[in-house]
Order: sequence, then structure tokens, then C-alpha cells
Amino acid sequence: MSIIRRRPYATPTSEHVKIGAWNIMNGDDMHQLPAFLPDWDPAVVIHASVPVRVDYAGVLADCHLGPDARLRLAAIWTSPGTGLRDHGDLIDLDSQNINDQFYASVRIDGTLVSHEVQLTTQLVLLSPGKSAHPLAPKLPGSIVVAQTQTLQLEGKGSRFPVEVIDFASTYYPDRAAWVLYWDEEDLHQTVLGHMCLYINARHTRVMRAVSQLQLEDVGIREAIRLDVARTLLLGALNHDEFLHRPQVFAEGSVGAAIYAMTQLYFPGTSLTQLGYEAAHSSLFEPKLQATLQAFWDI
Amino acid sequence: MYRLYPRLPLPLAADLAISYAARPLEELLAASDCLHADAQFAPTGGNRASNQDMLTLQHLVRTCANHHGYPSPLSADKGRAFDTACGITLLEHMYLHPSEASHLEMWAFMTCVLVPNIVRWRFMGTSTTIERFIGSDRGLRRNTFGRLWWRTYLLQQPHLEHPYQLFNLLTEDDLVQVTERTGIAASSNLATAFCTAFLRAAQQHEALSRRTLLREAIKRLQRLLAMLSFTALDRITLDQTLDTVFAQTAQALIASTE
Repeated sequence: MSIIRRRPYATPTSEHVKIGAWNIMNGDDMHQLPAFLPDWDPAVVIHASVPVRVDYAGVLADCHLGPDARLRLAAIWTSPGTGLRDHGDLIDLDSQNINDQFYASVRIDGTLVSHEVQLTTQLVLLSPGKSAHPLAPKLPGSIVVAQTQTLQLEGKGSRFPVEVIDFASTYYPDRAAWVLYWDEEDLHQTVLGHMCLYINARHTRVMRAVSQLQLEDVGIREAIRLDVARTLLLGALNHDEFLHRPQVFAEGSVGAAIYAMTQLYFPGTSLTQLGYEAAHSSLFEPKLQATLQAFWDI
Repeated sequence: MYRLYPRLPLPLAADLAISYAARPLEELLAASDCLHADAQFAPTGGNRASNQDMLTLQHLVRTCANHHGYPSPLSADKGRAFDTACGITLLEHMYLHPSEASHLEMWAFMTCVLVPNIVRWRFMGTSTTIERFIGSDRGLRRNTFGRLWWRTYLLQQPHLEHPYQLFNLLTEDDLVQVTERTGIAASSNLATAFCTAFLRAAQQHEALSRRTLLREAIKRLQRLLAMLSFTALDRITLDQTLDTVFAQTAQALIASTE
């Protein structure tokens, strides 16, 4: 799906639509939505709510819509893990809403989601009314405002998928220590669903390094971190679509995660330049070691 | 109560898939099993499928294949009929929820351990590709059984007298086009509305190539998905919007041939 950077119609200024932070509801308790839900499992219903203040007249004016236009406030959830999307509250607004605060909520059945949930607050056009202004949104469903918050469902405790298996049962050499399993040809796949660091159950030192976090094993963890970063970057930088159109990769995808890595580790360096360095220069590897500060501060 | 199914780590599954790719059906039948020493269950989310549950599932899939001519080679029509029947069987008997179904490892157990001979038979040839055993995108793409469960889950219409009627009206190519587009396959409501709008349009514009009409409409819809919230629309407005998408597509196709 294309990613829209600027909508081809007028949208309201932020002073006329103020979307607050999502809160998670637990009975009568309400807490700010955390980044992770460590105790989540599919039996858990996620009940969340977001406050939104809308100056209806201001929104209509900003969007060049007349008083007969109709808008709807929608609470939408999407789970990249299951690929499913649905809505919670749909609140129809009208000209009576001078500067009212609403609470839009969702109740998400845990069996419908996995890995991650994106909660999106949308203000959408239901009907444009009689406005003929060329910049006014026209199609029902046009999103005039959207804001998303992401919630990681930490059912297994780790953000990067790691599993311990016996390499003797696989085609990997049984004396290998770890391997990153991913498909470097398809960067649209999700990180949480299609990428996994496998640790050889027979390799007790590496097993201990990733499971017990003892100080003497920090070097092994650093080596794994460097190897994973190098593998992902070299794989993606060899990929034409990634080099030339990194913005096509949706949030949560392998491509988007690696693009975020390039921005974090190599700010100011273009992908084309990085791709060239990775393919033709011996500088890439030491640059990566330096930016990751690998093996320092042990 | 929902069931949890054994999950086979993907490197192990890939190893098995490679070794199964060109083997004869009877060898794979002999290799099939309900257990695998390295399979694991999710810790929560339902009751673990028992050995008896796995045997029943294996029996149901094998029976479905037998009804569609196993072990004789499948024609395209019979393959399509098997897919529909098997998808309904899986949806109605696995007691599976989407969170569990989104794990490729679960589908890999089914293809590589429980009924590998059915995978090989369904995608017979000199060899069966590894993706038919493993697949991608929550199992919806290419995995022999994952794709059937997901498409049946997404396109069922439980409120109708014939909840699976779309499967009799759409071709395999139609189903692949719709269910492999993540934007459309994100919601049963959008997926079923889009398919029914397509069927209305195909009937109305019989002179147009059905395949081209669908593919061009999908391109148009995907552009709109970036700007419009189809999830926030009620069903009537959604149907009207999708009818407009098909009407504009048909109009453009007719204009291009004049």
C-alpha cells in the first residue's frame, strides 16, 4: 500500500483537533498506554481509550467544507501480526460540537491480534455536503486527521524473536552457534512474524550468554549484535527496492526496521552511498563497528 | 474453546520440505505423523490439541483429499474444489483463532509432519516448492493449508444462508488477487464487500475481461486505501464506494479500447 506523506486535500490545523495519548482500561482503572504489554496473552481483551478535542467549525473552515458536511471520529486498531484491522467507537460529529472533548475507545479480542497492535485515532469525512471548493476532501472515508500509537504484545518476553533449537535437527552445521533466519528477498515481511535469531541448544556458552545476561558473556552478546546488524544491512543494501524506495516498506516490516537502522547508525549518509560502501569499500565494516560501539565499555 | 497446535521451528521445517520436495506420495504418507520431538506449543491462548485431535484433523484432511481423487493427479477444477472443501473443513474443525493462525510454525507442522503427502499431491510436479510447505505472510501466502484457512476465515459470510457462497462464485485467480493484498485482506468486512462488488461489476460488464477488471480495480483500491478509511465506513457507504471503484475501472477500460 502506498504511504501518503501529504494528503491531496485540505486538512485541519492541530489547534482544531487535539488528540491525546491512549489510555488502557483495566476495570475502573485507567493508565497511560505502555509501550509493551508484558503479561499479554490471547485471552486478554485490550480495552483502550483516547481523548480527542474537536473544534468542529474550525475543522470545517480549515478543510473548506460547508456546515452541511459530516465528519466521524473513529478508533481503529490494526495488528501487523495477524494482519487484521477493525474499528472500535465510531462517533458522528455535527455543528453542535463547538469544542467538545470525546473519548473514543476500542475493545480488542486478544485472539484477533499478535505481536503488535497499532491504535489509530482518525477523523474522517462521511459526506462533503455541498462544498465545491477544489481543496475540500470529497470522498466518503477521506482521512483528514490520523494519529497512531503502537503497543507491543510481549507475550514471549523479547522484542527481537529469539529461539533455542538443536541445530543437529536442521541443515545448519551442528557446531554452529547462531543463525539469523530471514528472507532477504522479501523485506515486506514483518519482523516479529518472519525473522528469528536461532541459537544452537548444543552451544552452552552462547546459550548462557543470551539467557542469563552475565557480565563475562557480554562479548558473545556483542558479537551476535554486530553479526545481526551486519547481516541485515548487507542484505537490504543489496536490494534495489530498498535502495531506491525505502518508504514503501510498512511500519513493522523488515524493510522499515532496517531503514530505521540506517537512519540511526548512519545519519546523513544516503542509502545509495551506503550501498556503494557496503559493496565496494573496506570502510563499511569498521564504520559499523564504530557506530555500534562494538566491544567497548565491557 | 480454542485449540493450540504444535509449532515446528522454521529451519527444521525447511529442512524437511527440501527433503520432501520430490518424494513419492506413498513415502510421504509413511513419513506423516502426529508428533515431532522438536515441536512446541504456545504457552497460552487455548487448550493444546491432543494426540486424538491431531489424528482427527489428519483423518479429515486425508478424507477430503480422497473425495477429490487422491492420489490421482489433480486437474485445475478439482484442485479448486479441494481447496474450497478443505478450507471449510479446517475452519470448522480446527477451533483456531487468528492469533494462533498467524504463526507460520503452526502451519509448517501441518504441512511437514501431519499431512506432507497431501501437500505434495496438491502441488504435484517434478518437485513441490518449499513455500508450499512454509509460505509467508501469516501462512496466507503459499502455505498449502494456511492460505485455505485464512481465505475461508476472511471470506465467510456467517449471516447468510450459504456462508461460503463466494467460493463458488470466485475463481482461484480472483481469490489469490484478493487475499494476497494485505490492505484488502485486513478485514473480513472489506474483503467480502470488495468481492461482492466485483461480482456485481463483472455481471454488469460481461464484455470486459474479468481478470483485467479485477486487477485494475485492485490497483485503484490500493491507491485509495492510503487516503480513505474503509474501516470507518458503514456497510452501505462501503458498498457504494466500492461500486464506484469498479464503475470507474470499467469506464477506464472501455475508454481504452475505443
